[in-house]
Amino acid sequence: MSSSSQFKQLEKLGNGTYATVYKGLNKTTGVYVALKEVKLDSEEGTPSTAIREISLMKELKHENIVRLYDVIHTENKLTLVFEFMDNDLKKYMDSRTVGNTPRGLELNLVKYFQWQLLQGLAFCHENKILHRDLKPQNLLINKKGQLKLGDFGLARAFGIPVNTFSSEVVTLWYRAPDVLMGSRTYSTSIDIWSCGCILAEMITGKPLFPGTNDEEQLKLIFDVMGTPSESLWPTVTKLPKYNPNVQQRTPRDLRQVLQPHTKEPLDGNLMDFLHGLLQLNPDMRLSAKQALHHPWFAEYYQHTS
Amino acid sequence: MAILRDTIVRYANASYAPTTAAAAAAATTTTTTTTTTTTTAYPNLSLLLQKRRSIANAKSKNSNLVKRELQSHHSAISEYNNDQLNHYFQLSQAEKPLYSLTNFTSQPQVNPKMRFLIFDFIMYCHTRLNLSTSTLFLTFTILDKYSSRFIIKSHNYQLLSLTALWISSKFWDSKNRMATLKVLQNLCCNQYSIKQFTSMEMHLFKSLDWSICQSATFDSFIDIFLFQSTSPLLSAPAPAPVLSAPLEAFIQQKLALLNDAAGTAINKPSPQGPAFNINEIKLGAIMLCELASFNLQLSFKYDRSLIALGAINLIKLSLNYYNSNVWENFDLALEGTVQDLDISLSEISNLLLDIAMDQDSFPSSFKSKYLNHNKASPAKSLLDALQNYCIQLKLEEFYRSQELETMYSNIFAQSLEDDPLACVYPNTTTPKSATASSSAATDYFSDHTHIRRLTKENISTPFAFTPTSSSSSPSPFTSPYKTSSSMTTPDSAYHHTHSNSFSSTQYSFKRSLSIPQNSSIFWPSPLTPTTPSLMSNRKLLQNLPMRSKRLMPIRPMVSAHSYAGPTHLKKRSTSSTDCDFNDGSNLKKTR
Repeated sequence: MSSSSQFKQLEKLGNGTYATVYKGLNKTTGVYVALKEVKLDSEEGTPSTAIREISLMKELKHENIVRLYDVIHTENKLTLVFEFMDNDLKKYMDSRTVGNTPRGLELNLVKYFQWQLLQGLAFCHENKILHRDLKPQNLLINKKGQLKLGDFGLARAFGIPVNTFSSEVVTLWYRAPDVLMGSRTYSTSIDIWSCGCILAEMITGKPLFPGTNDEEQLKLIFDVMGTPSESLWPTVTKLPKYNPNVQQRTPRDLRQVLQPHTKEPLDGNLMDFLHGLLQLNPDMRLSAKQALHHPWFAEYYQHTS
Repeated sequence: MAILRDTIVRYANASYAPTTAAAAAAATTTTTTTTTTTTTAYPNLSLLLQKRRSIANAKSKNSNLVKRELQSHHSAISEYNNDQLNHYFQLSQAEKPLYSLTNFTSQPQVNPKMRFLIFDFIMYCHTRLNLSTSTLFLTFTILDKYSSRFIIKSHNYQLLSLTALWISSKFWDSKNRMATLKVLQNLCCNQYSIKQFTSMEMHLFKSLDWSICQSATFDSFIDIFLFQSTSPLLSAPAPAPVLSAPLEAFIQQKLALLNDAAGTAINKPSPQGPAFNINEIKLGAIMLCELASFNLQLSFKYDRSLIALGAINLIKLSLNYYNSNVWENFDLALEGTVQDLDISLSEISNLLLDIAMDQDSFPSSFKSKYLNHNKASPAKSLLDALQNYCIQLKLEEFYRSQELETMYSNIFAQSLEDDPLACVYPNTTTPKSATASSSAATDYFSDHTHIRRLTKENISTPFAFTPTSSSSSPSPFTSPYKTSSSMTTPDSAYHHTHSNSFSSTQYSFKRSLSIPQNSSIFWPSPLTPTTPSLMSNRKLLQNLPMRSKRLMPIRPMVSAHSYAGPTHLKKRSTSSTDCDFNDGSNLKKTR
């Protein structure tokens, strides 16, 4: 059990969903940490987000998930001591913007990041945890090129019957169409959709579906992926927020959407993989485990096994 | 009262893809009603309520949507469910040292009676606030873990328990249902301040090292076990490679056995209709586990996965008996290779049955949750089924005790040479004989297991049933001593309202059981058709004319004890192998 005096608080790193994050230095070991400060509500005590994040992360020990070392309680705040990471994916991609034009990452790096992202995610899902807030800001990277999942503030455990969750999860741009249309018994597939959006963003350097509200978000998705039909996605018309009057669209070729923004040629394997993640119908999406066995990753799993 | 709605039924209904259109309709109607019962102090309450309502309306309009959402969830879960089960096993192994009965019993200010009252209180609050099932079990585990490690002051016990409920609710329940501090304060008549609650919360977190919400609770195991047993996608369950520990392997093996049996009953309904549905089993198993949480032995001593397994198994067997009249002794159904785990499982089953039979000592919160409605509820019929099962089990053991006595008397009172059967007894009376186990494993529903029983009953059973419905030849079996001392089954057994579902061959439970007062009476060795399946085996009996002619030998003095009468029968006595522990506890309870 560490005390707060053990850490020297350095510069502010950012504001999380419900907390402020500082860089910290462990004075005894000389190791940098990330200190996430959570204010305690005098009326409602420890926020449920903190309870969930702490309980879930305490047992998630994986090399692609940020480690929670300790929790320190001082008077009216909690300090979560996390493994320190140099950067997050969002900042990293921003730093590569030349002038006003965003630039994507090299495909080799994209693949390595995506592999690690899915490794971490598969581990979450195996431990019955949904992240529910995957976005570049929450993917932390360090100088060694490691990528780790962070910010489990919106995560929660999914039991066998997933209680209906609120539909206000996942930052809009990475929110799955089924969630946007009001489905509430979603499952691991919502994290997969976010992975697809992130993959496209890493390739091009800019968000794939940057909507400003639910309607626009759906429109952007349908513009590229086509409007869903009963044949491809049975009962989609029955979703609470399904709009039958939306203009019918045919799916565009994703390669044509993405290729103009990157110099490297996008091969068939990659496009097939991306399609697997960005399926409108949640049931058709790959699972994290299946995704890791996709031919696009052949070089990795052949090495590991 | 809407709040006191049966949360579990809703939960269970929403949990599994309903198989019939009717079930789907039931699921949707429950979703609609629950949305109207939200209690929250959040400012955007109306917005949330509206949202929930619109979604619920959309869902209730088309049952297909609900069905599909569940299916899609189902398929997502089936991919991960072995991993998750594994995860829960690891959790429960890691938690094992955290529970300590000796530590709890040595609490200076808190005793088991207080624990019972506090748990009762928490269950009231939980039902009242309409929280999820997981919340209740998590609260109980937190309390048990804490009380195994720290001394609780009696005046703080209620605060502790409410705080545990608060934390669990924050972890499991959705935002608009979460228990708020104000509500919790009201529940304990404002005797604790907000400050006390928040500092207790912090104290709980710190003392249990922040990892209190990740816990292998009853409901998590029940869910996974039932999921594995019903998922059509898992028809050929891949052997989980990581399972190496004996407990895990043992449970996998049991599950496979259970699933074979239950799977056939669920998927291939008999002509009279399906014997039971998954929601019923889940409700029953959760009820049993709720009761088990009140029991010290079960909460501290045994692994939760085993208890969950035992509960599911008992519910399945009793529903099978209740609805389709297929009888199976749980001891036989659970015959396995791992001895000590088998014994634990059978101890657990005995304890669970004991608890379920003792309706009078149910916690009052449990009664109000399940039994307070005047109309018949699924919970009531489940309890009836359990009790029927239990009664039948006792009768069977009663036979067995008779056989043992006969065996003794045979050995001592009779010469062996003119009785070729005497030397057979020692084998046949062993409760877990090889033949019985193999037939139980292979032909779960077949009547073969009864042969063994019949041959023994046939020899010496000193009392008879008088079936009220017509049977092929009832008269010879009627006991001549019926009037002298007739025992009727406990009143609760009459309560079942499912009589219409009973087939004509089934005996009503108003059968009378006559017990001899005088042990020296000569018995005409009556046949005792306890179930129709027994009757169907009469052919076999006729092939054994020698046995039916056997006379009842003079019973030794010991018999007086086992003929203690109805009070003895009311309590479930355990099989002859492990009688000490349970008999002791039974005696305590009855007195």
